[in-house]
Amino acid sequence: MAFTFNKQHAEEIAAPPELLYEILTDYDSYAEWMPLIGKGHLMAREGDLAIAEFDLTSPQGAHVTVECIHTRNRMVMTRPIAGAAPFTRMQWDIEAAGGGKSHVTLSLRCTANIRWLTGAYANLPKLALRSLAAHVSAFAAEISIGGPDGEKLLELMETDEGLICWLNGKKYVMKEA
Amino acid sequence: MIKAVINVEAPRHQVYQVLTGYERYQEWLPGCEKAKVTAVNGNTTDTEIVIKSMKVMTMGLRFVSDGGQGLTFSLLSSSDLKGYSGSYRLMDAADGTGTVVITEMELDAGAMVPRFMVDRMAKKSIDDTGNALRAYVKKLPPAAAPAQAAQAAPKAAGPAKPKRARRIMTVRKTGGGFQVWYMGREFELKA
Repeated sequence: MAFTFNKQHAEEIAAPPELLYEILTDYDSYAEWMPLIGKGHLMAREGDLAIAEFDLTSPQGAHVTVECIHTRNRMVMTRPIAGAAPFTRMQWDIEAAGGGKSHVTLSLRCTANIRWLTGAYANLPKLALRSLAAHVSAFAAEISIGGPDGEKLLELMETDEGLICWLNGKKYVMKEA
Repeated sequence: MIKAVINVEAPRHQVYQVLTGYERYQEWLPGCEKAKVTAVNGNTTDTEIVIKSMKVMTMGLRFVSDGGQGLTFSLLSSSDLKGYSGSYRLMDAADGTGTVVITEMELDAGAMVPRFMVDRMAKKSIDDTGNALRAYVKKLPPAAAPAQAAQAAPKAAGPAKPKRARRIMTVRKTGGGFQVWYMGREFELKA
């Protein structure tokens, strides 16, 4: 049997389980936040099973196809089917923590690979959770930057209406040129 | 267990027809010289398949189909293999371009053949089968959708889920300068 070891990290994230589950099962958008993912693509989804493929940024050009098993708002588990993934299982567990927050744990079952000692791989669970926490803030109704007295000058939002721009309190709907 | 995933540019019912058309396996399955149905019982079909690889092998294979979702196969008889089993699972491609086929295969050639060699053979076989299936289906005329699939089609093409509003950038003026939030990252610009 091949040598494997586990890596795990947990954090409280200011987002409800439903939002986290939505992000974690949106495989087309993984490249926007997940470390080491250059491009993500959902191939198929049926019920609690999805098939997705990812291009990795390290090693550059590596391609992985994965099967993903979901438990709505609670768990997302990924197993590689094809390609050179240095893990045999990646699992996100989500628990409601009250006050619109969630306790999120990322567990990796890693295969023996020198990559785990270097770069983004060395702290992947921690980095991935930090990136997820930063990414979810994009969906918050308001964000607190600049303190309570800060004046909002500009805001860009992507919505069903299109790209919305708030400039000095006025709303503009931006059209594609 | 060796696994592979391929995208076949054809609707699921057509891919399913090819995979369950056992007597036509010699038209596309690499190395298949003969395929004969020996018994049918409901969704279970017993076959005799002759494969020419390094040597000519005759296998009794049992296929159990699952109403368009996929099928499993298992070894009934073989003078060369101790075990041979697996499955094809079919899913509609998310981008509407065809069918995603997930293949699983377990091969046991006995104690005399090392595991790594068996796995390599199984991987090659699974990849070759996938490529051959893709090429064969491409040459077929478009098949009429069965009533069941036609009913399911409008549901698949239903309205897209509303997009959750997402912030891209915020700029705030503060006492000391500007705070910029961009895709989850904060920057401070001092005046």
